[in-house]
Amino acid sequence: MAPFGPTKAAYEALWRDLFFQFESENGIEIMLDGTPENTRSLRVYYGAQELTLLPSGEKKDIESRDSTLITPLTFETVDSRGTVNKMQTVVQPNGGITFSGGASNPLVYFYPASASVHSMTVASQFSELSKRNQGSEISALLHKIFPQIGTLAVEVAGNMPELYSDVSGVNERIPLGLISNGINKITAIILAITSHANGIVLVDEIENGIYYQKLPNLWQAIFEFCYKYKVQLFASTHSLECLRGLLPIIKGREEYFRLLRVENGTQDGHTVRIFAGKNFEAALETGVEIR
Amino acid sequence: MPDPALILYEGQEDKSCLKALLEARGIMQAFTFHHECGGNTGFKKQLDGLIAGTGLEKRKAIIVIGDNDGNYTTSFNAIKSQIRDAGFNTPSNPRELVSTNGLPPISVLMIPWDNDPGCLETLFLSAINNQYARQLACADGLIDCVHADSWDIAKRSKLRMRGFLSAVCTADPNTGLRYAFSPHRGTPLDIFDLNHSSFNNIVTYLQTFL
Repeated sequence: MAPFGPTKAAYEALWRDLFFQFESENGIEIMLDGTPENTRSLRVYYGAQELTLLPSGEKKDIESRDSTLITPLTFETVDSRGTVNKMQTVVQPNGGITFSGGASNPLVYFYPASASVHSMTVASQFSELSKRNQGSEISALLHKIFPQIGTLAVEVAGNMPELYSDVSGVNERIPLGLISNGINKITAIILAITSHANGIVLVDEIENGIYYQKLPNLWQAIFEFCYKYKVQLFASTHSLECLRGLLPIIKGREEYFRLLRVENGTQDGHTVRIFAGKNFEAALETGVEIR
Repeated sequence: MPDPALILYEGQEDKSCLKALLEARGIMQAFTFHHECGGNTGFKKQLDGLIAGTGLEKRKAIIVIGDNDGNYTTSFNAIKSQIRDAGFNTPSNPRELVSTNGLPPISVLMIPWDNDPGCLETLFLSAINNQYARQLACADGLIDCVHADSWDIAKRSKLRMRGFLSAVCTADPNTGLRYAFSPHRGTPLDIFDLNHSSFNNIVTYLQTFL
C-alpha cells in the first residue's frame, strides 16, 4: 500500500466508507446468530485512547500536524465462548497497515478486485514456500494449467525481488506479471492460500483477468490447496461463467462449499443468505439463477 | 402480490400439454413452468436447486406434477420422499398444500387423478375429439396386434398415443405429444378437446392458485 500521509484525517479517510452514512461515531456492529459454536459478534469503532501512534516516526513535526495522536480503529470480536479479542489497526512508517493487539490475530488475506498484489508480496510468499522445498508444487500447478510456464524462481531486479518463470521459447526467465495478469493472479491466490494455513483468504471478483476456460482449473487448484492448507476461501463473483466453472469441482464435494448471497432488502437493508453446498451444486447443475 | 405458482413437471410433453390446457381454460397467468425434471426421479434435484435460487420465497406455491403410472401409492410416495429430502414438509395427500418455514408452500398433483393408474398420455387420450375416433380405434388395434394388452397402463398409453398421433399428424408422422400443440409442423390444432370433462378436476384444483 502506498504511503498516504501520516495525519489523523488521512488515517480516518482510509476507513470512512466502512461506516453507515460515513458516520463513524456509532461504529459498526455485526452479530452472527447461529448454533452456539457459531454465534459471535464484531464491533468496529474508534475507541478510547488505548493506543496512540506517531505514524511517520518523525517527531519533529508533531506540533505542526493537525493531529498526530490518532485514535486507532478497533476491531473487537466476541467468540462463542464470550472471549473478547481486540485488535487495532496500526499505520507503519512505510504506509502499510497492520493489526496489533489481541490474543491471536486472524490469518486473513484479502485480494481486492481492483488492485493487483504487490510483486514483492508474491515473491516473499513464494520464497517462504521455496525454503520449505515446496516451491515446485506451485510450478507444477501452473505448468498444468498453463503449459508454457516452467520453473518459478524469485529473482531480484533493481533491488526488488519478484517472481520469475521459465517460459517455453524464451531464453531468459521473465517476471510472471509480464507473462499474463491471469497467471499472476492465480499464482497470487494460491500463494496467499499456502502462506495463510489455517486461516482465511478473501478474493473479490475472483474471475477478473482469467480466461474463462481456465476457471475450472483455477477452482480445482484452489480447492486442492485450501484443503491441503486448511484455508477457508471467500470468493465473490457476479459471473455465471465463473460459477459454472465451479460445478465439476463442487460435485461430490458439496459439504465443503456454501453459497452466500447478498440480497437487497426493501426495509431491512442488505442481508446475506447462506445456502448449503448441495443446494448450490443443484442450482448450478439445473441452471437456476442464483445471482 | 406473490409471483405465479411454479410448476415442476416430469418432461417436455407435460409442459406442452399442461400449458395448452391452462391457456385454453384461461388460467395460465397464475403459473410459471420450471425446467423439466427429467422424469419422476428428478424432482429433488430441481427443488434443491430452487432453494438456492433467487426469488423462490416470492412464489405463491410450488406444484409438483407427476404420473401415477401403474401404482398410485408407489408413485406418490416416491415424490413425497423427494420433497422431504429437499427439506420441505411433505403433504399427506395429493393436492394438499403444505407450508415450510422460509419456503413457498408445496403441493403434488398426481395424473390422471387419485387412484387412477396411468399417465399424462392416459389423461389426454380420454379427451380426443370425436373426429379422430377412427385413428384412435386404429391405435387400439395396434395394441391388440402387438399383444400389448398386458403392458403397464402407462406404457400402453404411450404406445396408443404414439400410434394415434402418427396417424393424425399426416404432415409429420414423427410428431410426438410434445409438439401436438405446435401449428408450425402442420399439426392439427383440434386433436384434443381441452374443455373435455376429463380435465375438470385438475382445472378446479389449479384454479385455487389464482
